[in-house]
Amino acid sequence: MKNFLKQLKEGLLDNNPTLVQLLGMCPTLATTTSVKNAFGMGLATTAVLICSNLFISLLRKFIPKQVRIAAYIVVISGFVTAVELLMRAYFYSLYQSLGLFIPLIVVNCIILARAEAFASKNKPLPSIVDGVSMGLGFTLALALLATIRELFGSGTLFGYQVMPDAYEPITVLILPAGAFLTLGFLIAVVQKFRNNAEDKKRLAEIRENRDHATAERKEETEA
Amino acid sequence: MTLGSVFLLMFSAILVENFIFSKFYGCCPFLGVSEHPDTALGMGMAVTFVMTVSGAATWAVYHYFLAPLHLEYLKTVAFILVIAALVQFIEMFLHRFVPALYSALGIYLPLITTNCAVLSSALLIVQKGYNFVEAICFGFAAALGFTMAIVVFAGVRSRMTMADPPRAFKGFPLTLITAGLLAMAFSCFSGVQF
Amino acid sequence: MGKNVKSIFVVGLKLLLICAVVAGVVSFVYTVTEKPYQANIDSTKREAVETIFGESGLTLTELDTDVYKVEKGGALKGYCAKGVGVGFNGDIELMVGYDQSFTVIGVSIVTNSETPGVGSRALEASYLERYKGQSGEDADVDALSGATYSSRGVKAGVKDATERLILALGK
Repeated sequence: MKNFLKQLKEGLLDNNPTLVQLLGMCPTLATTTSVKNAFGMGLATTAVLICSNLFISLLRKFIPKQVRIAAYIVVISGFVTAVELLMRAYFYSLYQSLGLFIPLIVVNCIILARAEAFASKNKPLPSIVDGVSMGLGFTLALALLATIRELFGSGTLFGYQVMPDAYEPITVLILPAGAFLTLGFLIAVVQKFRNNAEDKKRLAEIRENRDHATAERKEETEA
Repeated sequence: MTLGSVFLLMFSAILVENFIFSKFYGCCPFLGVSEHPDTALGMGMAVTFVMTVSGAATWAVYHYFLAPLHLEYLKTVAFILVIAALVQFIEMFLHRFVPALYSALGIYLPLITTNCAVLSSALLIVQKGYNFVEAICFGFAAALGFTMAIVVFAGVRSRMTMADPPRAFKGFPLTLITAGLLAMAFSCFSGVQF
Repeated sequence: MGKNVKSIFVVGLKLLLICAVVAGVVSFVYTVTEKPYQANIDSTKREAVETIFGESGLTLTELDTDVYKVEKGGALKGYCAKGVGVGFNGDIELMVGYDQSFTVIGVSIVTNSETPGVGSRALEASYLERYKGQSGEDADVDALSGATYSSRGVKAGVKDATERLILALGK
């Protein structure tokens, strides 16, 4: 259980697929004009990721090494098509607003990367947990980006007016250019935090070394 | 269909509906393989080649195989398989017969299978109901737009290596912000009509 | 050599098996979801038509692709047709409703990618209202300043829809 929580934290924060590993940029940039779209895209990807991870993990001894990438792509595209069919039947308006980006989940590098790096080497249960944590990490990043873009770009959240009427929306945030800019600043913030943590760690290391050295010297002089 | 309409289609695919700056198709290689203009050009050429051929191939697969059998809903699976096989085939063909081109494009070719620009152009061709000639022209033009964007971007980025940005912005964030500024420039093309 | 051929055969067979299973699963999902999907398409279309005509319980008969005859309880209410015009950021798809004398009674947008807050002003109900009572072929509606291309796209879409209707009715 503790292991699973650690895995979850890994996917959501430490090793977030979008903000830290910088994978799956196309859907991140394209579907974050509204929070609703971002959640739809994130959860659809999560569903595909969980299914493909489970399936590939179950088949990891069956799939021949030489053609594994082709086999993964077939499995992934199958699940993506299934998700697409389900969405157009039960979430029609979301299906319409995401458009071509649902079939494009096939070529989202996150899914292939997790299949190759994790599911093909691990048992089914950890693979499912990996799918959940990576998928939710992706969804979280998308939701964060979309919240910023929708709130300031059109003054709404989930389509409801949030900002006061006097607020003039910064339309550029909703446009393609705004996607690049917002994501750039968001990743800069993430890097800032990571740099700070790294600095702190290094500083602690240096201090420890120094303390250690002085202690040794003290011992020497005493001897 | 006249020559004019083909020209119009290509113009709009290259500039107005640029794959990267207005549709976000193919952003991964755009952000990943754009550190140097030469490598960017190599990637662009490889993509152009594959996208033109795959545009024709997927069109044929859809209209002569999937549509008659009423299996349209399998198009994503079929297209990605066709593209993967095509990339593999092109790689072997170039390796055997055009070694010079192979060594120039070699490392970029396998990356193209997971380039969403290729799959999305195949899907768009079907969605917009293009005929065979239009399909080839669209694939070629969209890829040309991709190449232009990535080469221009690599040119800007190679200049930026000399800059000294704040530490938090180093690397990827600065790349994204540059792309944002270029996207603003490209947005001037939207609304161009004849 | 024999072993090599055999292993290639096995690899191929395994891959084929995976493909077959995946295709089977997808086909199953397709058969399950096809009906609700068609129902979705129908209800979206119906909603668009019903908002234009301002009443429910209408019967739609398809005369041609995306051209409909609208009836209520056997009495002819008018016609509806879908049209496409090029806006600022690509195609604007819209649905146009007509009364029996082919005067426009309403326009509703199906899909668009116009700039929110700028071009999208030409897609708002208050602007589309101006098409009411106009002839579809040559509507006398001015473009909105600042949203010229989007307005032009709407006008082209209305014209396209009208032409389709005329073609379908053979007049």
